[in-house]
Amino acid sequence: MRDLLFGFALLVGLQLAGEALVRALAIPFPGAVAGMLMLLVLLAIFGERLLARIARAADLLLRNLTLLFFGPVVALVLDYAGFMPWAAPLAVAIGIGTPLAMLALALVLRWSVPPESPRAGDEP
Amino acid sequence: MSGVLAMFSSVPAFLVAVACLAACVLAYLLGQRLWRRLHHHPLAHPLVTATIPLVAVLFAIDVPAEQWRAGTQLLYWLLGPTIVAIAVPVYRQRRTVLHAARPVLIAVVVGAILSPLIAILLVLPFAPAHELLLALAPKSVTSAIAFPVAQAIGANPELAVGIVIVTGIVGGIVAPWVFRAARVQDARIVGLVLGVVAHAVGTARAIEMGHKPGAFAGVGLALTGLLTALLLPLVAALL
Repeated sequence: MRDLLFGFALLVGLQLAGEALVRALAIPFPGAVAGMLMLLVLLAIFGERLLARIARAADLLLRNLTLLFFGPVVALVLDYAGFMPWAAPLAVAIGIGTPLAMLALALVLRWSVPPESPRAGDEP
Repeated sequence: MSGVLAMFSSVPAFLVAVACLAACVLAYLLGQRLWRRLHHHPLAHPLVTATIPLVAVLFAIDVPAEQWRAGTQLLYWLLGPTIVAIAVPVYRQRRTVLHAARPVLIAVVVGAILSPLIAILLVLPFAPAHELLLALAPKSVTSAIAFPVAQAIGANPELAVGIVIVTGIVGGIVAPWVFRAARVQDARIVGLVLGVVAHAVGTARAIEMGHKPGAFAGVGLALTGLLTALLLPLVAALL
C-alpha cells in the first residue's frame, strides 16, 4: 500500500513538474509527456530500486487504461451528429489508410531488416 | 468552477459523477470479461462492447454529452499520471530496444510519419476541414498520448481519441491479411507494425501471438507516441 501511494504521488508530481516546465518554456508540448521523459531519466539514474517502488502504481494505471477512455469515447458517440459530415473521409482514412500504412511499414521493414540469426532459447 | 472540483460543487453534480463513474467501471469490468473470453478479438474490445449499452442507457434517459463529461472528470484527470507511467514499460524493455535498435528505430520513424501522412493524403479529395486534418495527425499514437497531443495542436481531443481507437481495431482485424500479403513472419516485424500503427489494440493482438511480438509491439507503441508528441506540435505550428 505504501509503495502504491508513493508511486502514485511520484507520477502525479512528475506530471505537475512536466506541466510547469512546458508552461515556463511556453511550448505546445503535453506536460504529462514531459513528465514521462523525466521519469525515464530518473529510472536511468536510480534503476531497479526506483522501478520496484513505482511499478505497482504504474502497472495499476496502465493495466486499466481502457477504463479512462469511456469518458471521451462515450461523449464522442453522444455528440455524433457534429461529425456526421465527416463520416466518408473518416471511413476512408481509417478503413483504407490503416491497412495501407501497415502494409507499407511491413514491406519497409522486410527490406531493411536482416533476418535474425537464431539464438538458443528463442521461442519459435 | 470547472474540472474535478465541479464534481463536488453541488449534491446533484456529485451524484451524477458517482453514477457516471459507477456505470463506467461496471461496463468496463463486463467488457473486459467478454474480451478475455473472446481471446482479445479486436472487434470485442471493451470500448466497443461496453460503449454500446452505456450510450443506449444515456440516450434513453436523455443525458447530454456535457453532463457526461462533467461526470467523468475524474477519469480525464487520471490520464495524466498514466501517461507519466508509460516510462515504466519503456524502461523494462530497454534491452529489447538496444538489442534490436535498427528495426525499432526504422519502424518508429517510418511509421510515425507514414501512418498520418497516408490518412491525410486519402482525405484530401474530400476537401477536408482543417480540424479534421488536425484530428487525423495523431492517428497512430496510443490514445493516452493522442489526447494531450491533440489538445496541444488545437485538435478536438475526443475526435482524435475516437480515430485512434477505431484505427487500433481496424489494424487488429486486418493484421493477419497484411502480414500474409507482405510475406512477413519475423516476430520483431509483426510486433513493431502492430504496435506502431495499431497501438494498444494492436499490442493486445501481438501479445496473443506470443511474448516476443508482444514485447516489440509495446516498444513500438511507446516510442511512436513519444516521437509524435515531440514532433507533431512543431509540424502543426507550420501548417
